[in-house]
Amino acid sequence: MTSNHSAPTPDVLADRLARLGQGAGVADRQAVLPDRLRMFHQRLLGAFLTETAPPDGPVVAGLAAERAALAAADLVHPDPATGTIAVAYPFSGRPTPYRVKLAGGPAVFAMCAVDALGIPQMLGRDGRISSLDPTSGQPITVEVHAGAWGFLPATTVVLSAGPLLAMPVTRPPSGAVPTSTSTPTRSRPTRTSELIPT
Amino acid sequence: MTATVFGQAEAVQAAGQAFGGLLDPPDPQETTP
Repeated sequence: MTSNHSAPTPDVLADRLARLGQGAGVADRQAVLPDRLRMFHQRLLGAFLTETAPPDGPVVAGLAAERAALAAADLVHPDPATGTIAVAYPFSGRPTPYRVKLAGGPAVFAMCAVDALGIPQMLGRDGRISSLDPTSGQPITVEVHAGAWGFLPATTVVLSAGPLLAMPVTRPPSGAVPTSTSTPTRSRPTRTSELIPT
Repeated sequence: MTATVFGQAEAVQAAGQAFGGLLDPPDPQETTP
């Protein structure tokens, strides 16, 4: 099979995203991207592992259409004030209560608890998640080593505002993808899960 | 909105499903135009 690297029309991508439904996760949404856009998405994710600040400048400059498409797919969202990447699930470009220290570095921030748990698995690396009980401020630590997970306190659970994999698709920006689909919308990225000691 | 509690193993598995393979190169047999 020959790969076709030409970009689909916005309505084609919108249709693919709409067919995924509300339960689609990040990997599902990435999978419907054309190859060229998928590789750009992977470059943005990789930049979080090599840069000390959220990706900007050469990483995203001059790629407005691509950034708009990734935002329409609810994969990457820029900071409207600075243009830097504020969100590239599972990474956050801003400090959050979910800090993930990867074995061998670097340390990154995740958008929520499930995103933090996903970062070591996405990379196939060991890591340590540091968080706080949002109510008491009690430290919570999660470590993974060679696929074995340890939670401290041991009674820690994940509290989610919805299904763990459900990430509603945001309303596409004007001109990026037609809004004729009936996909649910979310005005801005939000945290959807927390670590809670019980 | 009602919050739901998930156990550790379930949350780890869901996270793996959500993000595992996100940085893998595209399968040449499953390219997406």
